[in-house]
Amino acid sequence: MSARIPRRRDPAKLLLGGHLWLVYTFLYVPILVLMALSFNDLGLPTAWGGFSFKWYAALAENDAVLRAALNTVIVAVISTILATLLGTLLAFGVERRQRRSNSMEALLFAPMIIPDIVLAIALLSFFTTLNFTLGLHSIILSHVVFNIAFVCAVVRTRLRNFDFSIVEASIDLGAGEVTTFRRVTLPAIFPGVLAGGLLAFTLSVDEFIIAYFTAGAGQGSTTLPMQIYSMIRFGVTPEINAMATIVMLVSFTLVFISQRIDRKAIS
Amino acid sequence: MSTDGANMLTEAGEEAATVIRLENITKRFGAITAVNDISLDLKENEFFALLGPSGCGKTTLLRMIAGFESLNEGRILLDGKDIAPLRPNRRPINLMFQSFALFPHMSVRANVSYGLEMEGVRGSELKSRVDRILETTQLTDYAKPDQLSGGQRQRVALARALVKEPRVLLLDEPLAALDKKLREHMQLELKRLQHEVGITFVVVTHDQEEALVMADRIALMRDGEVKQCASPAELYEHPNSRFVADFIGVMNFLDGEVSVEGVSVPGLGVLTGRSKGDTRTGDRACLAVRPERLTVAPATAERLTHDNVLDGTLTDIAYHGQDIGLHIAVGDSGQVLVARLSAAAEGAADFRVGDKVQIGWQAQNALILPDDTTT
Repeated sequence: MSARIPRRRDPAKLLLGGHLWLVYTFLYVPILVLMALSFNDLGLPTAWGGFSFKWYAALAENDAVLRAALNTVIVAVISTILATLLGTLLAFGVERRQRRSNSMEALLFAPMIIPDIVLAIALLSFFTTLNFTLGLHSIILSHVVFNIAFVCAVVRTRLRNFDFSIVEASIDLGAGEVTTFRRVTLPAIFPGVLAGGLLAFTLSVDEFIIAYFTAGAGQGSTTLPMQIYSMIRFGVTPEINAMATIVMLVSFTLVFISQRIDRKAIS
Repeated sequence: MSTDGANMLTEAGEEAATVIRLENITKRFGAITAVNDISLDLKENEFFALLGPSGCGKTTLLRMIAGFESLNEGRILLDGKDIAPLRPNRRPINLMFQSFALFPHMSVRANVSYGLEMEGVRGSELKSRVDRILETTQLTDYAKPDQLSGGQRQRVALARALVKEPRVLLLDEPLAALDKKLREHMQLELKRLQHEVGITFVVVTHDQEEALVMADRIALMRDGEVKQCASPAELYEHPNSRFVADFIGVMNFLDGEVSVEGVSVPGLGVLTGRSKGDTRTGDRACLAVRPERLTVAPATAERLTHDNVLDGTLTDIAYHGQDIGLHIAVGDSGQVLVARLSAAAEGAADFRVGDKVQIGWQAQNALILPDDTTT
């Protein structure tokens, strides 16, 4: 039927559609330009000298960059594991209790909403007050702090549809607490936990401000975003373009996976 | 011991043994007493219903038997032994949850096997016992729970609990999640299943019709207390209080004061009925009579010869198919009595709204009940 009637273009819809494409262009063209330049043999932003992987090769021989990348992975993996564990437990605690206090709710979101710079200064003064040595471990702890909030939020959306009576059913059928968690509770909420963990990992990988403040003076605890920042002070080299492209692809893939898992779990 | 006595009775074939004895159970949540000093005996192989309006404490009582709620006072004896120290996973009692609480990430077979695996049953014994219960509950399909209909989900929940062969199966509002047609079918299905497996069923419900159809005995609860515990017929025909009479089925109440002959109802005179002897002259009381016990005739017809005859006006006619509900205003107050007659009865189709009619009933078919509405 719709084939025979010529589609009338509503001007308002046309305008809205155009706006949508403008927004997407605005968001993604700079990124696409950056990706393209990372393959530019000439190394100039103004001229194209042919396709090349040479900046990626140069990156692989840059020890400072490789160490920063390793640090980032260490921080991301450990802080993700801790934040996922604590955030999941927190989500359970909050959902299990009848919601008595709205301020408790709001406090849960605080680490997500507070500007990173405020959280960074707060954590730094906290560590120095305690005479805590700064380094990778303090970055890890700081990342755990804000990641708990994100993991908790993701797991809670999963728990909202969770029938807590299946926990009692498992116990009623003869299982202990540990068996119940392992065989019933965890499998039922696992997609939410995994999605939360992946989100936490992504956030940790490209977090700059908090890591910068809590890393301390030593070179040993430089993370990848910090390394890029220090390199950029001498101008944007194609090497940085290459690194940015890799970081972005990793982040993008993880976010994509986590959203896919979450959506599949909800449907 | 008292249980030995009970067992001897079974051997004599006189009375079934007690499986669970509730002794003076009290449960408080803060200032609220959810269950107040309840004592009940649940017999071997019986279908028992805990019936009552929402908030009467029936689910709390069920959860205490299952072990999910602690007791403030009293004891729960299973085969004569106090089960208070046993956690829910150590009690030979299973609970079927209102939401069915199926494990969503497991297949039907895995759901049903779960309880036996927890007991350490493995291999061919596990398989044969699961097969047998799937057959009993008419489940053949091994899909995931979210692909099943409401009725199938309930069968899985039943199979999962019954496969453990518990001493007692507790069912929390088992039919509330089903639509009306399926509910009626499953009432009979549950009854059949209970006969087949020979396990004591204790079902919690707020639906009096459901309890009447399914149960061998019913405990009617209100405000944490058992008001009456009896067979369905006994509850219907011989309610011991106005609350019970009102909760079970439809009942006409005429409020008044107890006199020597019966109940003196303002504007209607003295009406007669059976008394259980728990009312004294001068007490507030009511005369209760079932709609199907009322005889209705046109005012123009011959005067009825029943023990009690009242004159009234037909205000409404409700057609139910197999029978007709006649709403009749009597006396100066215009109180409405409901009478039910079979649609097939002679003259039943001739009644019109506004007709003058006479209503009659025999004294033996009416009950004089103390007024307990304020307690």
